Amino acid sequence: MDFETRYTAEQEREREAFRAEFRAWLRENAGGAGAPPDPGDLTREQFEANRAFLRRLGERGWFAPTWPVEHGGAGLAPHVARVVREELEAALPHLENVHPPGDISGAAASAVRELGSEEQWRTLLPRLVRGEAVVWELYTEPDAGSDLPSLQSTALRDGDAYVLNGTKTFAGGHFEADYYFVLAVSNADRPRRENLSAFLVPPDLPGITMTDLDMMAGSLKRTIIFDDVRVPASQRVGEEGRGWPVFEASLHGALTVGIGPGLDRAFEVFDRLLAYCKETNASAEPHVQDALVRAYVGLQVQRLVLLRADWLASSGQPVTYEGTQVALGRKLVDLKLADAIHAARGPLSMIKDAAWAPLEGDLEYFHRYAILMAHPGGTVEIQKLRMFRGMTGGAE
Amino acid sequence: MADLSLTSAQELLRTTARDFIERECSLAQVRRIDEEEDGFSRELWQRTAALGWPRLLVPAAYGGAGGSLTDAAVLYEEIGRGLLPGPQHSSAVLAAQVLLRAGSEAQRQRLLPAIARGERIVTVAFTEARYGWTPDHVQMTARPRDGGYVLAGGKQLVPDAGAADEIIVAARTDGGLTLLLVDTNAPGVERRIMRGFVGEPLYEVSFRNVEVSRDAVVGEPGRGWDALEPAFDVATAVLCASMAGACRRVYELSLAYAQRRVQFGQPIARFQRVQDRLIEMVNHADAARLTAYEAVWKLEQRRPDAQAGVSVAKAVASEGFYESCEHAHHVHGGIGSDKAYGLYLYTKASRSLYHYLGSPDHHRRRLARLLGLGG
Repeated sequence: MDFETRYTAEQEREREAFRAEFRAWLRENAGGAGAPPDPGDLTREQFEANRAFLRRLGERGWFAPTWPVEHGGAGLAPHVARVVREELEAALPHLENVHPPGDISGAAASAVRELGSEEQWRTLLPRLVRGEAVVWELYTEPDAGSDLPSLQSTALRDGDAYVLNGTKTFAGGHFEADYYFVLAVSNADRPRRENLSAFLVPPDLPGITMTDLDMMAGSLKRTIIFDDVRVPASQRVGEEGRGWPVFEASLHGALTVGIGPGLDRAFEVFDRLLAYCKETNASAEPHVQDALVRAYVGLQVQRLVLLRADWLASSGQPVTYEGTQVALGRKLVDLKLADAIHAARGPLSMIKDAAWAPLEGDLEYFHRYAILMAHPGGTVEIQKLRMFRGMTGGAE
Repeated sequence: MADLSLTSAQELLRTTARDFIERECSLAQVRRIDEEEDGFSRELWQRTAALGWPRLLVPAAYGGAGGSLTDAAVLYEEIGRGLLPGPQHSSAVLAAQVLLRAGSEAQRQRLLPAIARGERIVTVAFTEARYGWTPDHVQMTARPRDGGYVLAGGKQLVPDAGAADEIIVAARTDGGLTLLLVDTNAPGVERRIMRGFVGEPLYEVSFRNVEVSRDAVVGEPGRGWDALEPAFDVATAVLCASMAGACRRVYELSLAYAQRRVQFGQPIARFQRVQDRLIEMVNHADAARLTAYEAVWKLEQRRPDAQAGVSVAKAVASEGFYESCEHAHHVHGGIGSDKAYGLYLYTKASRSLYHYLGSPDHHRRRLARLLGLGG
């Protein structure tokens, strides 16, 4: 066994050569990009600056560095591509929020690449892969969250279009998107999961209205209502009735494209907290040490579980429950770390204003974030259900 | 056999309080006030004062209702249940208790009737940057000058200081802690709200060479802790009743949602994983209520183990309320994080009240001492 990611001397040379090139480019192009700890505080101006930066990144193929050049990527080998993320993290404050709030263009790109039409490969895919188009997911409905396949929105074929009706909620984020990725019932007579179609809907079609949901952490969410919206059939991704496989394909590639929101924020927050406690000598008390060390142990386990899932997937071995184990573990680790921070740093860790708050309010935000993040993509209960299915031979 | 029922007068108080809060202070209203600059609604405060709520624990001799601590627990259980904003607890319980125990007759005559009528708001400033609820955590000093004192330093996380007319400040003087009444409009007093994921408006209060006269001293100089400790005990027991009420409400919201929310063709309350969370929540709510009321009763009865009862109650209420909110978010999913739904208001309160008047850790250490453990 070897627990360390190792590069050959040749790979190291390639990485360092690319690093020099990328750093030089960043010096010229990264000006103005960055984000606050809470994406809810992102200004319109900062949002525009970040989009412009991401488009410049996309022009070089570095928005999705491992993707083939013909699809809009840079065709880099994984060991070289990793440098992009490393350098961006070092250069940009709160990289996880530089990505437009609510954007899932990476997931949409994966779905289009796996199941989209040749026409969509030509016209749409490069825009998604280059970070030119912001895509919001519109899956969840007021009565279909954990039980997503029971969704009620309908998309009925009418000539060269589909007529879309229904309500989607907990969608998107601040500002605006270029496409809504919508799942709707197109074939009501077919069984569950075989009755859906997926669409990339332009948001400016007549009949779409939107209201805001003000969330306790992060960006706004939206409730979006479709009232007899005519969506051109060319916007359907995958075959009619194959919306569920399209949805699943979107999950496969979600992490392989784009700079993406930081999913492992807990590690960053913990490292910063540890440094802060050492600097301020706040870690002398036994209960503080106990809380921090417990959090550290939990993070080590999570890191290894993640490492194993990546290793299984990248070496082509079967993954049964290990992927869901990571997703479940991430939710629980975030919550446990939030509790540990609260226990260790006391009431000031709940203060947002940097005049008093440790780490400029990052701890206060992380607490709200951890509570909120227990739900997207499936609650803890749903992750357990999926994980058990995987453990016992069912589909994940 | 013991009797855990309330008197008919207490039942009436409970119904009146619940009706008023449900009618006049919905969670949408709580949120609106929470988002105000100073987190305070004078209008709502005056209306609760008109109902006589700040009078409840003030003795009749000072214009109060002379109610019992159990009466107060009944009212505060409802206040916590509805998260009614306002300086009820800080002014009409904690500050009033300090004045009752240590204030001069002149101070009591001047302040207690005004506190009871809600015309004057007084809060207590104890905690500082190195946060804690034992006397050694008070580092701010008051220097004697011309029979009075000069205050210099700062207090943090002081509840309701923005609304307060006066603050009872705990400061270090030769020989111990001294309590000083400071007018919030006095030169050199500065208040800044400390915003964050907290339930009540919390302030930093800075004192830049603030001069107070001899009349401002509450109790004997250097003996401030003797008055504070029993006042903290009463205030903590009443606060626990409030947290028990909040805990109960969080459980009720979650149960109702789980029974209403249909996924996979049935209410999610049918799923054992959801039931497990609801069971944990009702256990927390019951434990918080029982320990709070027994602590109140022990204080009323002047039982020798009353302090231990208070520390048991606060350790239980702090952890129970905190964990119940976490369970509630899991039961609710996304809607629990939507501010319009209002659950997050309880979660915020559970985070700040966890520490207020002593964290579970503080109370467990105090219990260890009271039980004669250790050195």
